[in-house]
Amino acid sequence: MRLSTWKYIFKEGLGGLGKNFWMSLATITTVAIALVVLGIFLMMATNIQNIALYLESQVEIAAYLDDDFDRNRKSALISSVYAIDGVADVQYVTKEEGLERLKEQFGENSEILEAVEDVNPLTDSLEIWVSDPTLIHEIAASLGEVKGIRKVYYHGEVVEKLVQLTDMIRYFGMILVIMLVLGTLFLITNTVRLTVFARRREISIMQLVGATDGMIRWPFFLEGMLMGFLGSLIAVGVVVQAYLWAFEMISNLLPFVPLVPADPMLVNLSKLLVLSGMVVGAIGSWVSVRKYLRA
Amino acid sequence: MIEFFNVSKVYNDHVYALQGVNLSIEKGEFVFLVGPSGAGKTTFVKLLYRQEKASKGQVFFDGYNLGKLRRKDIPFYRRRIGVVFQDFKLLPQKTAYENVAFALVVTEATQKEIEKKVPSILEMVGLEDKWNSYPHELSGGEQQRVAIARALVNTPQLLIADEPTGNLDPDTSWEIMDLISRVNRMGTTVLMATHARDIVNTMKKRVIALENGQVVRDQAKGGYGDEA
Repeated sequence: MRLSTWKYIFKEGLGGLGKNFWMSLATITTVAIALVVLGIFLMMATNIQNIALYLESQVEIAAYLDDDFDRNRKSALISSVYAIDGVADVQYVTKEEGLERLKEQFGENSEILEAVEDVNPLTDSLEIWVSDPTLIHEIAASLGEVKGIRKVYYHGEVVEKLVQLTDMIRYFGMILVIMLVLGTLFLITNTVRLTVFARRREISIMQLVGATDGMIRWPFFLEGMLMGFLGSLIAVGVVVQAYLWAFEMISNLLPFVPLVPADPMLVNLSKLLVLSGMVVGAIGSWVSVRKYLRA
Repeated sequence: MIEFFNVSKVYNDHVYALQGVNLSIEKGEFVFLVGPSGAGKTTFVKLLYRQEKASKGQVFFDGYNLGKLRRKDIPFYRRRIGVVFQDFKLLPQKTAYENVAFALVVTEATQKEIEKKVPSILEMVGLEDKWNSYPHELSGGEQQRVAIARALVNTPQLLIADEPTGNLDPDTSWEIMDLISRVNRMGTTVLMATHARDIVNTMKKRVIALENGQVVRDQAKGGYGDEA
């Protein structure tokens, strides 16, 4: 097609919004609402996954060392623990530190520990964090075989329950995301179809005058893309504001909840929303126009 | 220029809209297509602007077999003919000028060409002062003039009119007929399907009468009914 034809197509496609004002407004609003719902849900899902990940990262194993453990062998011991599959982090706790912690835990009643202060009954120990809680039994077993470790403590049953819970959160989160994405796609394409349906008579008139499929289709394509773009911009505005507000409120009220920081997540989410708005708007009108072109 | 060879059109396998139609129309002719509702006039016209394909037989335009026309070639064929309808079929969101210009835009005409041709054709149909009006701001007669201007702006060899005066009052109908006659005198072949008895009787042109999908009369300088 000639340059002047493309000029015409762009003028029609981008100017069409004003000419079909109410229909376009309805479509843009629908796109915006659908993407706001999707965006907020995605943010919630991301945060819930984050919480699940955080909980899993708290899973801890305590390993008490032999009474006569030689502290010169400390680094050798730590590296042999690190060598075990699934170990994320190791911290060495001396028996003096261990006693301090006990005192803190007993708080006001710490006098009862004074009796044992001189003859600290504790041994040095290791705190071990795991990268994958499902491996906890294997890791504990391997730890038991490390020379210098006397006894291994961990809450196996609690960890198993936790893993079940986080697995369930991931699984249902995934299903909900898929359903919501499909629902959003359906809602947007359907709305775009309606705008094309309202103008099907125009399509048949253009055909009678001798317009090729491309000349009819491209303006609709651009218009669909533009409506998707505008709708997604509104959605991005709402979603970003909502997250910043919720982030501040939750950080104040429930400071122990680990929230996903706004910075990389909101930028990525915004890109995703804008891109999907444009793509779905454009494809929706392309497909709907095709139907009336063949009619 | 137009030839129908044993043309039949069947809808849904059993509704015969046209049955065994044979006729030819020469360049420059003015032909009325008459008959009661449901006689097949609209189907006849649709075959000509290739909205429909014949179920049997062949329709030729200028030597082209319209039944063999490929889908992607249809727009290019339609630019060689002009079509006018009872309901005008103007684009509601374009002005009179833009509606006419659209027929040139689709041919990828240059801006210069468009600016030269559209005003002169609007002047010819008597709408030089209504360029910027939208269809809903125009009377029925004015809308039909815009439609005729659009049909003619590509200087087609054939003007097809499907009940062009069907929605117009008698005086306005005659103004439109004067315009169509003028187009015919300038050399364009005209085929007009109509119910307008007095127009057909007064103009004394060739009349093809359809009934139940068949040609029951084909008469030079004929009238509308059987009385002739």
